[in-house]
Amino acid sequence: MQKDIDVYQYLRHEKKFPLIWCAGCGNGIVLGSMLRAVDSLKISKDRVAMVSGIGCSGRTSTYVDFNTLHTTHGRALSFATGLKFARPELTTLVVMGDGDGLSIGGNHFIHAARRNIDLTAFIYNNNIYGMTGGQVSPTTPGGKIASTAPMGNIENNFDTIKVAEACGATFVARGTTYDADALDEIIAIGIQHKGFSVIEVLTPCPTIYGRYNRLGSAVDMLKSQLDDTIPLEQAKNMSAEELQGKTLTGIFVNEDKREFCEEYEKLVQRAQKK
Amino acid sequence: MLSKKTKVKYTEKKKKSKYPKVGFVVFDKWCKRCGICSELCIHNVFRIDEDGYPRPVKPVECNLCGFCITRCPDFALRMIEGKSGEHSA
Ligand SMILES: Cc1ncc(C[n+]2csc(CCOP(=O)(O)OP(=O)(O)O)c2C)c(N)n1
Ligand code: SF4
Ligand code: SF4
Ligand code: SF4
Repeated sequence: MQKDIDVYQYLRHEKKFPLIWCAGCGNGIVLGSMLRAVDSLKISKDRVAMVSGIGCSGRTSTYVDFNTLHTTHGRALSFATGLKFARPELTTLVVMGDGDGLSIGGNHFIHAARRNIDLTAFIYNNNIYGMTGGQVSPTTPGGKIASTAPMGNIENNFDTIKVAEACGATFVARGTTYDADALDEIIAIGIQHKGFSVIEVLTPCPTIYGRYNRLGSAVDMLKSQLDDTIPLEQAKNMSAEELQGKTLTGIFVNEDKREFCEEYEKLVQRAQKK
Repeated sequence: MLSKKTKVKYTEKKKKSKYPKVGFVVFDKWCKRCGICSELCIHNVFRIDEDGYPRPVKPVECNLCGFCITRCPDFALRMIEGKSGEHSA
């Protein structure tokens, strides 16, 4: 994929820049990957919609020159479902945080996946509620420190990939901000997939999660993704011990199943014939 | 696009490179001085100036991998191609 594309044509840089995110926050890297993926697919920006929830991650829609909806906390998928139903021709990207998408919005996530509606859903996983100061999220690993877990998190955390797969999502992938090149490719494949695509991106929150857990600078957190993750293909040749504590990345699910909007269109045609 | 004032332009003219010459533009108004570009460049193309901003002091070493640009979280870095020393943003 071409790296130095003119990303600025997709950004509201005249009005909305600089980005609100903290120095070294991974969210901007995810955004860059999305723009390169859209550019590589040669989709006109007027045919792209971005729907986001509330959180640091939710700010993404503010910066892009697509059709955008910045909605309410946890309800990005509800708005996106309505939009996609009314305008199925739009390539619709849904941006959520791990709290946004999996705790308050968990129910919507489950059912959007079950229906297999043609949306590309992004979970920006920074392991914490960033915007509200660092409460435990469903992806905060056990033992990690958060404002609501000053002595370490006693809960078990979700594996977004397993949740998405179990609920019926037909494209499920995980990428990292460190490997933005792989992320570009994953996003491009996810957008082209017909059905509900879930792309979890591991993205550092140096200001809140990083500080609570003493994970070093933004650069340290970004570099540590390289050590903490293993691409699926590589993992195939590794033992269980070698994979201990590592997070797998790549495309986990990519299958065809009937899609909600298409089935609805068929239903309308059947009803009209009667 | 951007106003001229936000652009700071750097090029290096002396050394010979096996790669096509490139220059870099740093948008200081957007750069948050996170250090990602300079720390991740394996060819040490950037040096951090006294104010904390990255300055591409050795663009001639650049192998065009694009790592710095794609990992800059603030879209504050741009690579410009051009003839030796003839870079325009
Ligand atoms: C209905 C509702 N409940 C709670 C909030 C407060 N709130 C805003 S953002 C947020 C969580 C943010 O965490 P996450 O979704 O993980 O996104 P991040 O900021 O980490 O990107 C919460 C609880 C809200 N805005 N609306
Ligand atoms: S609080 Fe964390 S997630 Fe939010 S902008 Fe800052 S670094 Fe990013
Ligand atoms: S493109 Fe690669 S080699 Fe060139 S400055 Fe950036 S990181 Fe360094
Ligand atoms: S990566 Fe971007 S924001 Fe960070 S120091 Fe480099 S140019 Fe500035």
